[in-house]
Amino acid sequence: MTDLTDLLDRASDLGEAPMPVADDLTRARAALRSRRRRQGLVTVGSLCALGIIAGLGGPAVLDRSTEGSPRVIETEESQLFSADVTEGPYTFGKLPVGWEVQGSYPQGVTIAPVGFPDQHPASFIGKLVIMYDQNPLYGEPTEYNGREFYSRTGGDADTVRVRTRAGEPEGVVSVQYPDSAGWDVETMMEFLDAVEVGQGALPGLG
Amino acid sequence: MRTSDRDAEFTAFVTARRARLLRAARLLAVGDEALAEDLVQTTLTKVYVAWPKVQRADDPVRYAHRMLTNAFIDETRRAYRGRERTQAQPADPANLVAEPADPTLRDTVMAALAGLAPQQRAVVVLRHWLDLDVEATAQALGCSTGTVKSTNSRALAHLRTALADLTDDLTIRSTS
Repeated sequence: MTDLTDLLDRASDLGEAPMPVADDLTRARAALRSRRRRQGLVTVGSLCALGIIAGLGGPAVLDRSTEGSPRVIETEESQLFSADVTEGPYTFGKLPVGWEVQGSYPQGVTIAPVGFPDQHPASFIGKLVIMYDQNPLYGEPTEYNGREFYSRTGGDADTVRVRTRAGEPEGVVSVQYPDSAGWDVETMMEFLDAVEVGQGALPGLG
Repeated sequence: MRTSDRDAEFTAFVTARRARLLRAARLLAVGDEALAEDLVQTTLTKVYVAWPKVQRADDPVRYAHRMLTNAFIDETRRAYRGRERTQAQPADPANLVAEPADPTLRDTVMAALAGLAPQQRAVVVLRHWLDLDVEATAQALGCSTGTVKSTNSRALAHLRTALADLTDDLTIRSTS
């Protein structure tokens, strides 16, 4: 009689392995610095031009300690601010501080950090992508504000999905966001809950 | 949270958990030591970046398990392997591991696991090596408990056949 757990235990045991904790820490610190660099630095001028500087809140602070234009430094968590922005058939009640709408189409909207190098709205890497489709829900279910959201995290791009409300086109609205942006699922549920899907929306394929 | 606090807590977490994460990764990667190490590095990096959230989680270890299985599933979905490495020189797996105590057993078990679909393998590792219950396994994989049960059932049927050379009486510890 042989137990499966014992077999797996013996098969995975290669004796004492080195414990490269210092390497793990160095690698992790570099990833965190990279994430903060990508998400946190936007110019005040750009924010003013978009008229969103008044909406800054939470942990964002102005940094005037360096030469040149002052910058907005995001601290631990990215923040949302209240908005009333309509792009095509989609209306956003909240937007992330320091991000802007790049483009909209009937199937969705692309939102990117202000000044993001890749300005093509059909390119999704490093951006928030709001999509409407009629595919099945998947992921880990979590109730938020009376709705059941489904999240999938851990990949290069995380997703949160939720059924559209009554009165909106039937289907699922989702947000895909870069893991490097540092948002947690609750923040993205808050963001997605404030998205309204209008009658002009068309379901994406795939 | 101060960086020094995060570093100290992360170091303690890695010291306590890395070995077991690596062994789980070995089973998922069916003996590919380089891939197993990559999965662990990816997992630990995500854990560090999300450390405030990890701390708020009911069970940081469970969070790490979810990151590990997600990294593995994502890896299997990639058409090619082109992960970014932050080390100047990737670690040579030959320098990282010792020989298994029973190479025949290890090869047979790894071959049996290799015959499973990625999600089946993940369910087996989570349920029968990491000892997660059905609900926790479903949370880690982002699927329903029914899917975990049916996937596990098919995986065990395969393993009973594939491990017949090692044992004709494979037993399964009962977990809820």
